[in-house]
Amino acid sequence: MRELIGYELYKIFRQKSIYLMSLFLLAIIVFFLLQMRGPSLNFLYQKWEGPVSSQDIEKAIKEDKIIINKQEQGIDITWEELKLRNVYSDINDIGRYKTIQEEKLKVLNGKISKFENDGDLGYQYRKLKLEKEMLKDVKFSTLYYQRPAEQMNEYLNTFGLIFVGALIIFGLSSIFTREYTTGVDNYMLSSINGRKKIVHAKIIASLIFVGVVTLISVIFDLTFWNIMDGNDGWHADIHSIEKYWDSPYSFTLLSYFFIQVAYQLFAGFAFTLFVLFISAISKNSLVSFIICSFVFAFPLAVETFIPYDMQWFFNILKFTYTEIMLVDVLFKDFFTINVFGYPILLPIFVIGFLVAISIIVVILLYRVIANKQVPS
Amino acid sequence: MDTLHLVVEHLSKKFGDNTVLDDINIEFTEGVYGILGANGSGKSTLMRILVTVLKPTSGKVILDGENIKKLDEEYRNLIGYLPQEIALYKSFTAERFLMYIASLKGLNKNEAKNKVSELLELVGLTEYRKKKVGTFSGGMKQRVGIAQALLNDPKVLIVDEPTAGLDPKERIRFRNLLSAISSNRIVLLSTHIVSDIDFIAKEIVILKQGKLIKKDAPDNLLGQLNEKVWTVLISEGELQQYQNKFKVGNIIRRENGIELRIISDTKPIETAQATIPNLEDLYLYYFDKETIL
Repeated sequence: MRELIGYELYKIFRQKSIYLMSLFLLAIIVFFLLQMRGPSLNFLYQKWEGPVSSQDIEKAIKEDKIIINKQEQGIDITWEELKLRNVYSDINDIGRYKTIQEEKLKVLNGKISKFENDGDLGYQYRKLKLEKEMLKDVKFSTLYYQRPAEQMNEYLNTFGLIFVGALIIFGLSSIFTREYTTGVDNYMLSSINGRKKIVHAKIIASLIFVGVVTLISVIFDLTFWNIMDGNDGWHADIHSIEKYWDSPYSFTLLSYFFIQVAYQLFAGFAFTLFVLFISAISKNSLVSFIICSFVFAFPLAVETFIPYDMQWFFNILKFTYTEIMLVDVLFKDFFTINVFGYPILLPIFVIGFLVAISIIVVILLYRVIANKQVPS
Repeated sequence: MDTLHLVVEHLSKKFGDNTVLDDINIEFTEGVYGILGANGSGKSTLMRILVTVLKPTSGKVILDGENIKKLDEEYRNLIGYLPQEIALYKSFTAERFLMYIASLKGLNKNEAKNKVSELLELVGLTEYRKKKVGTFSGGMKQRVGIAQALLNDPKVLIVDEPTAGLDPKERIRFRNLLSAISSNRIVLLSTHIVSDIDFIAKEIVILKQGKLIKKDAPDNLLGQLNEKVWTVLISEGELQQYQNKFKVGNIIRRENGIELRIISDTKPIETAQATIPNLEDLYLYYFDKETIL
């Protein structure tokens, strides 16, 4: 078995296309990331870093106003003053978030009371209670210079997603079709290990490949931003990034980074199993490549075109491989699934969902190869 | 060890409306079987079913009393298959490719190393073991193909048109190789080159348009052609007329005219002389009007 896995790994890593694709993607990624970099602002944040009090907020607003006044009077402001406005804005955001959080909790309490008064303690009630409990735990009250950690997190659900997804498709969509087109399927399917153990070996080798690709992507991400902007901000709360203001999850950027990597890897594994299945049922590599690419790109493409009010469609998209690999879709807001009257958080539900889908895909994959016939 | 029995029972295969094999019943025991048939006769389909890469539409294949479908991996462990078109990974060396197939055949690393060395020696490729198979000639690829088929020391060896595309020297080499390895196993060899099975085939199976026409020892089949193969001596000008009228085999120019070998159930002309039939005559007798492939 170990030998078979070794040969399958050898066949995967022998493909020149994956190296060319990696270099191409990394070149594009570096190009775009270089546009996003800027000098480190750590020194400006140092004075303000730490728990933010209401006095700090007032002071920040006051100092910000001084700069605004200078601008309004036509007095030139320095680059440092301009960037200081970012610091004041971040401090002000902490105050704003606190206000919004308190407001949300008030609304939630009101709704919960209404349900309690009506004696309706079903799914909606439980959902509101869960949201309230989670929201209460969010503690976004400390300022950090978080841009490096933020960028490293952002990379995962942008360039990292494309890098991992593209290499899964390029590296693995031909894993079975290659055997069909070379005719090696004749040996494979007529040999003792050619209908079961070969599938184990291809699955294990493919998952190792995805692990390696994800690792390369993460190492690249960490290295690039460490060189460009340092290694700060890991202790900042995810709510320091505005797109997570509706999130009820209380994570630091460090823990969220690990969560994102874990979800991307897990969803990548599930997508890999799907790619293997498509490869097994396709007649040639091109067909397999097109189908896998379509499945991967479809959610990203349609998001651009569908009207914003079609929320039900966006909700369906949350269950696609690509959106789960995006990860931030899972954690950006409070979304639950009704399972027998109990609200199950989306990030938890998708794990079970992917496991169930993958089990079905794997069963079908084994069945396809067990019944496979060579074309006459 | 008991004698192997591979039995094909009422085997049929259809592709859509096209019946490629039609109710085939054959029994094979140890020894070499030559399967003769024209293009489309169903030889390759029969072989593919026997190596489990195709499923029959109806009927079954039984090995020593057990349906091969039930035996599954146990059966596949006993077979070696050389398909008509040799499939190789071009970027693999001969050794690596054989090691890969060995792992597919369930050999452990040490067993595989020894077996690969032994077979590379047998097929005369030891000095090319580290060369990529993509650089090999047709004959060398064929030898890699036969080596892979023998890796698991198969009890049922199935080789489909193994000498197609080989030069005469390679064909002789292959025939000798097959002869050397054919003891204690069932060897099924499909070919249209009758010299491939001359002397080594225990029995010849003749398939025509998906039907089993004959299965017998070569001597018995040839015996059935007694008084059906004739030689006649004619002039150059009569050649065309004879070719139109009779199944003509060998044409040999003699000092006093042209000697024709004619296959005919009746004496073609008064001066014709009956001669000893050979396998080429047998082939022509059954497949004269068909594409020979």
